[in-house]
Amino acid sequence: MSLLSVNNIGVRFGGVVALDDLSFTVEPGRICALIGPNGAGKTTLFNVLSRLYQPQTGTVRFNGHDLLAQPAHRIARLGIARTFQNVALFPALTVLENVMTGAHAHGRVGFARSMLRLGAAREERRLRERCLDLLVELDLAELAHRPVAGLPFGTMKRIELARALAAEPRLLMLDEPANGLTHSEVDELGETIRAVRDRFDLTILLVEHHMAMVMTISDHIVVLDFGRKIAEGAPDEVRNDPLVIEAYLGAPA
Amino acid sequence: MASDRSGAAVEPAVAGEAPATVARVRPSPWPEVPRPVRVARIVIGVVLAVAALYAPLYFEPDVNRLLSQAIYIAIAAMGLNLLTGFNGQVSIGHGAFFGVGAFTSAILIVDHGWTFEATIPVSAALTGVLGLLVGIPALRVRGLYLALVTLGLAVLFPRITQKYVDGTGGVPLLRPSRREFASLIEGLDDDQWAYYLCLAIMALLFVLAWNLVRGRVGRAMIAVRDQELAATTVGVNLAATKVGTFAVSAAYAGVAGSLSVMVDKLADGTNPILYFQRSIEFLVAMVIGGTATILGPAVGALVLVLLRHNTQDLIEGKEILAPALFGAALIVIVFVLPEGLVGGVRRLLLRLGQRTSARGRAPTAP
Ligand SMILES: Nc1ncnc2c1ncn2[C@@H]1O[C@H](COP(=O)(O)OP(=O)(O)O)[C@@H](O)[C@H]1O
Ligand SMILES: [Mg+2]
Repeated sequence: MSLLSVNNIGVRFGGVVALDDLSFTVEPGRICALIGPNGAGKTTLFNVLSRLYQPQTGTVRFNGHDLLAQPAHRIARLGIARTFQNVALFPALTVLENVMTGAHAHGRVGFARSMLRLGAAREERRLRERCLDLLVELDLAELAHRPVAGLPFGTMKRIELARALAAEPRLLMLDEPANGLTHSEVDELGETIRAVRDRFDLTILLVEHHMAMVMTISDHIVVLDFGRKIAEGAPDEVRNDPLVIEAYLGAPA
Repeated sequence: MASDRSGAAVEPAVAGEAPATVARVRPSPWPEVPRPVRVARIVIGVVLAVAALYAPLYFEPDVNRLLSQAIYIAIAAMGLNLLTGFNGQVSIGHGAFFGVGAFTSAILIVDHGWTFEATIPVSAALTGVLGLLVGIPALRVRGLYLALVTLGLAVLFPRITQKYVDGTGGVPLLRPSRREFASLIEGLDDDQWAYYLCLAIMALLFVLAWNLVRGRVGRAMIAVRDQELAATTVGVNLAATKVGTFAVSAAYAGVAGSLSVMVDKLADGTNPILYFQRSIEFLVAMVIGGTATILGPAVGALVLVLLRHNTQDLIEGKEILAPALFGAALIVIVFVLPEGLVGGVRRLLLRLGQRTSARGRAPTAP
């Protein structure tokens, strides 16, 4: 059974149709890429799945749950984590604290227990160790106690990935992870994405413009144009689809 | 900048094929504080603690009263700092919570014969619930609008006391007798007792705030302040975090109000702008001490009270100029130390630490 199924999702902003009757499924353990020109609606779909946008039509099922029946802050606990196209870290917190915040949904300690330190110290210590392990794995360890503000963009993207992984998600959504990276960093990122998929047993939904990377690491590709799905399939099928070529090159039919 | 990712040798470990030659250093789970900074902190801490404990034995009752005022302002400013500094919700209405705390204690003492100490938890609980009730509609507004709405609260409060609190002769003014606050410890004068009680409660509330800010909830508060959407996607319940912070923050102001009744022997609702002035005092104490620093509000409150006291009779015969002088002094502080006094010291210590740790590392650098 598929882990995620998007059914007939439609999102409008005033007169702009951002997503138009979009349906597709993602199988567990796969890397599914979502591609399409700028403004095609890729980020909008991420925001629907994060429950930041309310679609006008359609349903979403995730791991047996009706996703649209959940409030936004419950999504992380269901097992969905994400990164943002323009990086949305918490600048005042250190790298380690950012990653620890990524695991917020797993914590139990609220206001009262936190103030009185009832069971808070133990939870905190475990979380700290676990997130430190994650930083070591993602090669960020030496930055652990540095504030995030002022770090290079590529590093921030990596920290955001670590923060998403700290949530121990089943589905990881990456919004243009290669954006702003250097050539060698992009190659490395492709490796990293595959590696974390295997290592953490993840399903990945990937939005990316970097075609070489998309074609090498994806199992399945969904192509959007003006909010509509124009093609879908394995990398080889999609690559040669005339509709896709047209959407990308803008050539008249 | 590129040194942290120096090419192909540094493959991510998750690939499971990192060459064994690349040593992966695991840093300590807590930031390592350089020795001189640690020593400086301990020295500052001990000196402050000794000074705070010895002060009331050394000073006259008048000064002790001034210091006790600084402490209750510090407590309210600490609460405001949780809300505004750490959670990004601006409130100019904390004077109202302070007032509710004050009148709760005063009414329980004067009309119901309670002992003062027993009224403090009641004030805290009542203002906490009130904070919850204000925090819920506050979810709908933010920034300057939230400031305006809370301002309304502070302006409204005296009217409510005028309507419902009967002091002497229909005036909302309660003056519990001195006896109610008599020292419970043999050998301590009343003013000294009041000071120590205020200090103990501040210390307790300081520890609670410290615990809060340093843990899971504190990170969520900061995350909500700086990046609401990302906070939501990691599972932070925005509404619960904001409303919870509002409640805790209001309870701090309420406790401060209770203590003010002991220090000033008075709960006063006759002056319509008094509680608005209080709100501003808390904000000023927070800002000059250092917004979103845990120690800042206490330092700010002390500076505020001393500054105000010393500008009061600086120019003889021209007392009317005192507020201007006071204001000018505040502006100078904010300009010289935009991060507040504590923020400034922290930066200084940080630089000191960097200098020494850089010196320590120098021989190993290529
Ligand atoms: N919050 C919003 N308000 C109004 N229009 C939006 C909003 N978010 C996205 N859009 C519009 O929806 C369309 C799809 O945008 P987006 O999903 O960001 O595209 P992509 O990520 O594929 O580049 C664009 O026309 C964009 O202007
Ligand atoms: Mg986008």
